[in-house]
Amino acid sequence: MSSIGITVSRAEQERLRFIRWVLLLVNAAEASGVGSLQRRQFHSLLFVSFASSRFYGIEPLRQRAQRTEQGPYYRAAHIALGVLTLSGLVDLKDFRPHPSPKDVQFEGTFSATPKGLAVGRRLAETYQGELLYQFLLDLCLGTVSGVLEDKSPADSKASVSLDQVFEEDLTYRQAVARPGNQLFVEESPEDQQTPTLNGLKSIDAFLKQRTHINRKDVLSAYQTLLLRRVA
Amino acid sequence: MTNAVTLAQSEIKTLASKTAEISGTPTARFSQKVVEYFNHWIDANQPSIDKGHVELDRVLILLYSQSPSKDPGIDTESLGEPERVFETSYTLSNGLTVCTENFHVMMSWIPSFKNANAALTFISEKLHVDQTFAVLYMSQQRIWLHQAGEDIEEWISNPNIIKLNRDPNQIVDPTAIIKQLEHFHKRYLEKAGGITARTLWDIHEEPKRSTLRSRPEQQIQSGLLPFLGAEFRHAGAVVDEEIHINGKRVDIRIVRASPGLPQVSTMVELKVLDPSDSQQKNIEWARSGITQADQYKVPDETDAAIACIYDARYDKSDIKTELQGYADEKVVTLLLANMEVPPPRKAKAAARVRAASLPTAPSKKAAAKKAAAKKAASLKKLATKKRA
Repeated sequence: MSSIGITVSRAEQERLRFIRWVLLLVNAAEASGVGSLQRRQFHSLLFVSFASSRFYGIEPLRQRAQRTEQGPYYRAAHIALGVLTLSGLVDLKDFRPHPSPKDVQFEGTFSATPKGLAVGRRLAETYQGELLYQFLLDLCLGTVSGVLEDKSPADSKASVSLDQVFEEDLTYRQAVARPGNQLFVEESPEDQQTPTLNGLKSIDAFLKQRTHINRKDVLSAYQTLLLRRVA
Repeated sequence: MTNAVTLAQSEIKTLASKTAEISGTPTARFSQKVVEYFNHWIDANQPSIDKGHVELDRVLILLYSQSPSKDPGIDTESLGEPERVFETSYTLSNGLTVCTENFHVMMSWIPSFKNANAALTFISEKLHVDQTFAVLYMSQQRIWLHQAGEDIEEWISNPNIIKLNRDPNQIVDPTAIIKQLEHFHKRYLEKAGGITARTLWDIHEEPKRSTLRSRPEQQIQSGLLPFLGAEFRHAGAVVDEEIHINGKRVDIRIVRASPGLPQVSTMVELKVLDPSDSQQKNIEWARSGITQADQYKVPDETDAAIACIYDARYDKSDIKTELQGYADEKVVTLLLANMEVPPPRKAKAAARVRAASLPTAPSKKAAAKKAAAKKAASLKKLATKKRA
């Protein structure tokens, strides 16, 4: 395959990486059986993915979410999902605008499409794409095994929704406790050891003393602990 | 009182019983899940099986997909709406169901097949070489497993048959594991046409010799996982998923409970000697397998470390002598096993020479070439016309 000479500006590169992250996350949700995600669930899962990606040696994208009554809201994700939906790579149902004083915000339910899955498979043929998809898939597999299929007795589990679990994320809790409208994961190199990363490392250290586990087992265990905090 | 931003030790301790989920690549995980499902199905339906209620001809096809409902991998135009099936009912035993790798979503698209032949005909006509699927022969306790890359017709005539070992008194120890690794090698890798071997090679036209495709160790690992899973039901085969991308190590750990100990594990490192590498590089690669098998032993847990070195070199010169001493020094069991190199395809040039010596009727090839030239000329004419 011959290479095509195209110059991509740095800002455009950031945007494309964000679109890739969003598409692969939608695909990972489908491939793991999590399935479709409502806007709030998707944005909070996106936050968790940025807070935990360094556990797989992946630098998170530097985007900030806005604090809203409807949970974290990424303007960049909104744009990315729009682009992907219009391209037929993501499916959008129950689309409706949200009354918001500042920005235009929308609700909806997002899920994968066959075309988007095919594009995702191509993206996962590069080194970075493969690593990113593996991480996002493991994160979603962890949502299934750690939350949806969790077998520990929890009386009020039935009423817990996925966004409640994701919003228990340690870094999210820290971000929400900070003043201001912006919710961020990393603003400076000092922030790289996010509370989520520290939590994952503690779980990893604990489990590895006992048995052989993979990183996806740690992501699963972490989400189980978040579920227990909510329930 | 829970700190919102850190995990308490008391919380983390509640995870004490957590063990590894099925591991490997997504399709290798799916294959292991198939084995697990079949075992659970037999457990759940034993009374029916004992009464002879499972027909000899009943088969279930399980097909892997990232999206069983939206992208099942089969032509659904003539099929009705699929039905969602739930794994843990363990009643699914017929037809074709498409599943995510973890069986969390299972969509039954075809409720039943008339018989096994009808199922195989369906596979032959409708499924593709690059799909991952399994055919469960419900009364035989055997699985025909198809991995991506295997030609369908070739696979049907020489399927990867995995038999479930349901012996409740089965012993899982290094001797049994080595025996199964040798068995796997014999059936799957020794001959060029072996079940896994046939997916590892690119065969070229002579005189170019066959070459190995990339990541052969990982392909072998993916073949071994369901094989060992079916043989050792009560042990877990865990792989290190973190390392597969850089390919420096490919391993399988067979973990099981042991009286008096939290657990016991046998460590297996996999290495393939590549014919396109130099002798020196191959020896270093083999040695690294022995080194890694030793390095990843866990004190008080690893009962044996095995280095499986699969020799795919063109010339199988002796390396055992050189490696055995090192393996003994590291207390690693060395399994050095040959892989036959498939012969290259016959050259087309030889066919042309043969054709040239035949009587003079215009060859089909010459006629085709003439027709192609004529078409090219008329297309050029058309293009010129358009531009004008």
